[in-house]
Amino acid sequence: MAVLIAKWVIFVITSLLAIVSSLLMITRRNTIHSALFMILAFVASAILYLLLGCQFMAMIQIIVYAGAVMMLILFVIMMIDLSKEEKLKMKVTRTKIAGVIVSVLFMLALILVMGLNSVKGKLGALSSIGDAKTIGTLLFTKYLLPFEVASILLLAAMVGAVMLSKKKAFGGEDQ
Amino acid sequence: MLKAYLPVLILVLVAAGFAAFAVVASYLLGQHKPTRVKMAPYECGIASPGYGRTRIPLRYYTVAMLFLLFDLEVVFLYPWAVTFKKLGLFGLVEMMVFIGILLVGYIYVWKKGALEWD
Amino acid sequence: MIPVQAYFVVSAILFIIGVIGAITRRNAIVVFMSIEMMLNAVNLTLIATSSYLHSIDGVMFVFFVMTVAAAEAAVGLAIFLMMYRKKDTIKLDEFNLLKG
Repeated sequence: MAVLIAKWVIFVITSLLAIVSSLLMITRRNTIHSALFMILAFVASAILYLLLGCQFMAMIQIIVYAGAVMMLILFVIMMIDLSKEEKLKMKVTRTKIAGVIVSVLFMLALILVMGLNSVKGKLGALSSIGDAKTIGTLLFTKYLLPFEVASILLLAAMVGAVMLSKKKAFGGEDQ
Repeated sequence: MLKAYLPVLILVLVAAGFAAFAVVASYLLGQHKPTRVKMAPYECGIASPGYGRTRIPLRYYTVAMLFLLFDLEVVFLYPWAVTFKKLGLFGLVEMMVFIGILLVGYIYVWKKGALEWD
Repeated sequence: MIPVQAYFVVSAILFIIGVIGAITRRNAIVVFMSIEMMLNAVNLTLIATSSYLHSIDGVMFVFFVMTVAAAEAAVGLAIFLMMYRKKDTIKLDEFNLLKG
């Protein structure tokens, strides 16, 4: 019983943290502040993964998302002079208002449908889904082809990013 | 399962508490006589030149991007390393193919001169 | 046990926050981060379902979604840098060449 209460407390705190920090992320004017709140939201979701018993993905979330991807975004923010963008006033158009209304309605529909129906399906055989050993065994047997294709995806990303950012495309000077 | 993470939680709380304590204590106990020089950002003692958010050169992007992609390669190596004994030679060949494909990209980047730093 | 619906509600809210950010903001990098937030919300749903069904397929999906997100970040941010070189801004209203 005590464990259940502790789990609920952790769940409520981390979900509120994730929701509030992602709200702050989309509302901050300063882009660096947005990026830092984004990291907080990612760490909060990593804690939710831990609650679900998926330690490996929680660590990967912190290494890849909160670490590497956000590092790249922060680098790009520092490379670009964003003072013009940060002075921009929010432009309210009819399309945006309609979009926000529709997405809020969509959220209500999602909550209604997903909140009222439980997940149905045959239970699998695994008691723990989180450790690296289970994931490794499946990754190198059943998911072998996606794994090798992922390397080709990474190769394509590398070639594409270098093509886009090579010196000639940027002109001779840097600043 | 979650009990194993209790030390991590305690470490986070201690770190946050220490940082908060240092800031609050110096605010409460210290003297406050701000001058213009004291309020300037500290930069190893010499007068700081220019604006704090100057842009860094774009060429650092290549290095950061390569870090991201090779970081992902390392992420794929973790589950492989844990199951290495069980998989045996087959796993080794699989991983060598994976690393080989990424090595092609690395050689491409190298030959393209994206790592040159003239 | 926390019901799986609780996780679904949290991830629905996170997803819609990402959608609203992507619709309303004009700063390209914030729009990009909102899209990453939507991916993250979907990952949470997949892991919750996978954990409740004792099956690993959802976790594998999350693994590959993360790979795709990282590749997307590498190429997408390079495109933003190119756009910045061309127009000296990354305000999304400026990029309307394909507007009919």
